[in-house]
Amino acid sequence: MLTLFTRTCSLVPIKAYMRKLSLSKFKASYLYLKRAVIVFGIMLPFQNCGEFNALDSSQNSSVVAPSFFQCESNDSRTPEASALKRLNKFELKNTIEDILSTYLDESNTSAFMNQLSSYFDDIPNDHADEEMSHFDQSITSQHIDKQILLAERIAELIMGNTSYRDSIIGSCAQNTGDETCRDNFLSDFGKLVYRRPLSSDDLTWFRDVFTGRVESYENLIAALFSSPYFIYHYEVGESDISEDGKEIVSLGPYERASRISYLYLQSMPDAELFEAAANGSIMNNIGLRDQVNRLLSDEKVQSRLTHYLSEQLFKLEETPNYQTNIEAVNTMISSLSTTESLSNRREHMINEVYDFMNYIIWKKRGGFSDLMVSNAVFPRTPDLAEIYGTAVWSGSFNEQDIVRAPASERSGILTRAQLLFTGMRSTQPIIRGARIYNEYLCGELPVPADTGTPSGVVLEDDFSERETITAITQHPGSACIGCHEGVINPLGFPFEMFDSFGRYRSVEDVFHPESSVDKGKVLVTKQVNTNTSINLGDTISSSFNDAISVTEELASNERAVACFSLKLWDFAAKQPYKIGQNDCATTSLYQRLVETESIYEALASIPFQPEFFKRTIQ
Amino acid sequence: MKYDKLSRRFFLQGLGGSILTLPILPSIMPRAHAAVLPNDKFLVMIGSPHGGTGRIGDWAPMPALDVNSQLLNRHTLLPVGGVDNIDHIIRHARLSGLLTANPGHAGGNVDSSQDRISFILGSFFNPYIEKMNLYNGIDIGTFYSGHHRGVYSGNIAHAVNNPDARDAMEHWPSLDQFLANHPGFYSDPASTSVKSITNVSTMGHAGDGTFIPATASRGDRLYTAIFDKFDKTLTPQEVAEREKKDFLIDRVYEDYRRFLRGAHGPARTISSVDKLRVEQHIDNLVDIQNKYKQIINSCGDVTGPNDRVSVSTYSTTTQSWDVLTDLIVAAFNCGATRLAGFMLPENVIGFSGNYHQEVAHGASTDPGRQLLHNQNFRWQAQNAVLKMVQKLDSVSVNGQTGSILDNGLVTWTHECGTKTHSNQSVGLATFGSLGGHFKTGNYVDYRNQKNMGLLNRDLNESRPGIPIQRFWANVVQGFGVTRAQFERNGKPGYGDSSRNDYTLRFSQTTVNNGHHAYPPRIMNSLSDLLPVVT
Repeated sequence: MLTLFTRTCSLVPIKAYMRKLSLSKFKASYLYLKRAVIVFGIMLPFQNCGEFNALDSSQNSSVVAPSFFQCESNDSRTPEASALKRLNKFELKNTIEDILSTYLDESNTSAFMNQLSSYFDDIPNDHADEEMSHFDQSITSQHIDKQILLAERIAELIMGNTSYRDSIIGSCAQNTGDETCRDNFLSDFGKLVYRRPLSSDDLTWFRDVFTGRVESYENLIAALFSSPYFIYHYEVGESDISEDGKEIVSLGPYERASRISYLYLQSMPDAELFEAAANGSIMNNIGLRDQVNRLLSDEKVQSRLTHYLSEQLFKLEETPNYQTNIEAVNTMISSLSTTESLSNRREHMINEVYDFMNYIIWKKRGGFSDLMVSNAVFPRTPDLAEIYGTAVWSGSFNEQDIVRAPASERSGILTRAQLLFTGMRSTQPIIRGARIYNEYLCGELPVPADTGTPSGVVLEDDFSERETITAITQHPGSACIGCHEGVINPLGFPFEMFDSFGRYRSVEDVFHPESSVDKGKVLVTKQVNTNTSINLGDTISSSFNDAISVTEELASNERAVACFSLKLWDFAAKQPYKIGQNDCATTSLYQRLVETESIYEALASIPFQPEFFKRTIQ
Repeated sequence: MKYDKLSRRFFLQGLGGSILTLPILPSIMPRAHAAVLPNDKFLVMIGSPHGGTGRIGDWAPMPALDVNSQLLNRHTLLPVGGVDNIDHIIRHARLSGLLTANPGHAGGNVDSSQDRISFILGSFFNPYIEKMNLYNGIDIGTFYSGHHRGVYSGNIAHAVNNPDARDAMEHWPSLDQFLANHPGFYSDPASTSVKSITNVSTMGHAGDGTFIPATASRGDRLYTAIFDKFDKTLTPQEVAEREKKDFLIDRVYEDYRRFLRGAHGPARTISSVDKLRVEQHIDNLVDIQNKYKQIINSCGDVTGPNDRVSVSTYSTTTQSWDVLTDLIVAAFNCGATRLAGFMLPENVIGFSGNYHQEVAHGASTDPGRQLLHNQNFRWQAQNAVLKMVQKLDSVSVNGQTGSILDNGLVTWTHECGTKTHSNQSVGLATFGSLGGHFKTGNYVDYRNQKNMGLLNRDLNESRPGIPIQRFWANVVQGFGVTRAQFERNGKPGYGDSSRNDYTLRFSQTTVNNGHHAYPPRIMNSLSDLLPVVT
């Protein structure tokens, strides 16, 4: 395995060697080494630590895959069948922006995009219930209608502004009879929209659009942006493969360029990718490696990937708002010493997740364990610094400038304010626990059979959140007790060390009921109980004192790492998988995560998975 | 390469079954302007006389009749307390999970064994179940109601045959009149031709005991009342814009056809799976073109019906309801109004005798009459309610998100509960989410499942639900009206709920046998949002 990598960091081979130890010994060994490294002043792998250099990451890993993965053979690795995928909303917006920026400077592109914003807003949001929103492949008349309106608006704006028009179309905009000029425009602009060179067939068809129309360029541009070659990820492949009765196609160079581009940039291929497709270098692993390294070192790529990956993994758009119709919430708001609008506070929490992910993936080149246990926080504003009880972060990612919360209070992504915030009085330990089980351990909870309070439950006004949830969901004989006592509550209760705004706490203010005349006033203050005993069979079976110890367990938990690997593959494949389904790609990502302790490395290895440039169509 | 020219007729064919001549009108509204407008909200109230659909599952889903059905979830509406000192437990489920092809419905197998909600709400509603809600346990809850036409539109005091009760109640504006006069509801009242479209005066109440005259009871007059004030001339720019839009849609359509034919370079074609997806896209394109045909940029674009068809509550032809529906949808679309209420006829099945006495009142004791009565409801469902829902869902106001149905609410309210003159569990179905205010696709039964021993008879019917003032309060709140703006003298609920102090009964058949007032906690929550559906 060591021969597969060229790394400048001496620690990496050591870590790789450690992986040769049994996985169960890994956690202790790694934490021991990590402490030693810190003691001796050696920095962990950091920026410019080396480039991804795997030629085929799917082979020869020494990391033993978890037994629940089923990848018996690498010989016939194919993705699940899927129909033509459409551009999701994020991709649509980015693609249009990148096409425009090919012709316009930054300020003009920005101004143009601002004029399209309400048109993007009108397109239905991607939504897929509990899954990543970009799994949503619905295409309704509402989608199509609004996309056509968007296409018309783009065309109107180009033709209605001489600066835009001349930059994009050139001199032929005013002389529709100049066929050479028109064909050059069609070839150049059409290639960006279609994400491949236009065929003679395409050119013939578009020439037809001009016939007898004075507003021909406007029609042409609107038609281009409404075309199936733009709306859909056009992937017909360049060769057919038939395996086990499946129809599989191997993607051609421009399709490959798009796949990579939409994985990392969530947009159309850039000039270099187009070039790599044109000269064929993208079809071999060396050329592919060059493109991957180039893209992942690009700040624009890093920014977009961080945003989109964070959005998909943590569902940031679902961050709740402050429930100001609850008096207790208003009391809590009034207890904050910083002045800031509630909408800004919400926005700051979301942005902090981006900064955190940016730090973990790109700046620190950290791994899953860093994601789960890092106490680095990134409060750019006083309101969020107050939540964390830290200083305001300067915006610098230099290690000495990183703000750190006390390690006993913050530990990784699960203790971000955004993930802890509920906007209401309740801390929602059920949601917190179910989230960990479903999204961090890839468990599947059944739909609750009964949403009512079981008969016989007695609730007192002075119950703490934990006492209330316990009384309702762990009532003897109720239908709820199985999932709640066994799974959800033990995972959620340790996080009672954070209030519903995400602040660390050791005591809980229990408010008078909202139906009381004293609503909004504190009835009693209680010590929070964060002790828990989690018994999930082979996955976790231990007792913990608080959320910090739970996150430490998750950081090295085989199932949790496997689940994160699965999420990364889901993200790349844009369709949901389960453990036990197409496990080879997930296994490979798991091995890469464990070997390199680097999310960056795992992301970089995705295009080298044998499935990535194949498409099963039946 | 020579491409097939698009068949213009394919796109430009007329609306099937439509009486009106709606012009082929693509979007011409200045889009920069249109895109920033908030979505308008709409209300259509439909009333059916009598009610009395029986307890045999002809109206409600069969599984919901089983009080122990495991298909329904339980939810605690109110915890222990009140005069009965018991929880108020309601039941609910996704409508999609309650469909059956049960031939036990009185009407038998009239849906070719397809799953359906019920005999009345037949399989023809299946495409809309995710956009509808079906309620049980919404009670008039005041008194022996006689005929109670106010229940359709929000004036609880309008009891036709019970002057004693009527006089004791304070009249309150019907929902359409209340909303029409609510500040800001019509942002430009000058462009609103009528506050609300009605076909009978009893749908609209001023709030002072007087009725609002019907807009018209004949199609041509209704058209005149709504559309006559608008300029009917298209400007050259409008004509040009329409042609331009038409051209683009044609080209897009042709592009997708081209894609299907496999213009993908040498020897490459798209797979059958991809073809299916593209074909679905093309189907949607056809829908879009159909929508543009119905998009009306100016009320002057609407042309009137060709004859003097009646749209009154006595008209029993399908043509009547087609015309009324088309006029309402067109008026909503062009901004002439956003409110409508109409009452349906009672005898569309051609019963030759006294329908009122022999069928409506005879239904509860005669299965044959019950079937006739429910056939009447099924006709109403299919020929009036469904058509309204379909057409509202096929049209979007230009520049706004979602169909008019998505941004609006259609309420179909029966006059009574499961028996004629019963004031409990009024037949109520709604369509549309009122811009997301209502969560749809639900069956919800607000009757208290714990109150089994409340009365000695008719246990299924006699369980108290919640007064209809709460449903109305939810409707007006969906339009952004605050409690302080709609509550009467600061009392919870929409309209007068004062009679509950001593006479609220759960069954008019038990006037002298166990009166029960609604628990105060129910009455105090009449302005609260309804669980499950909001």
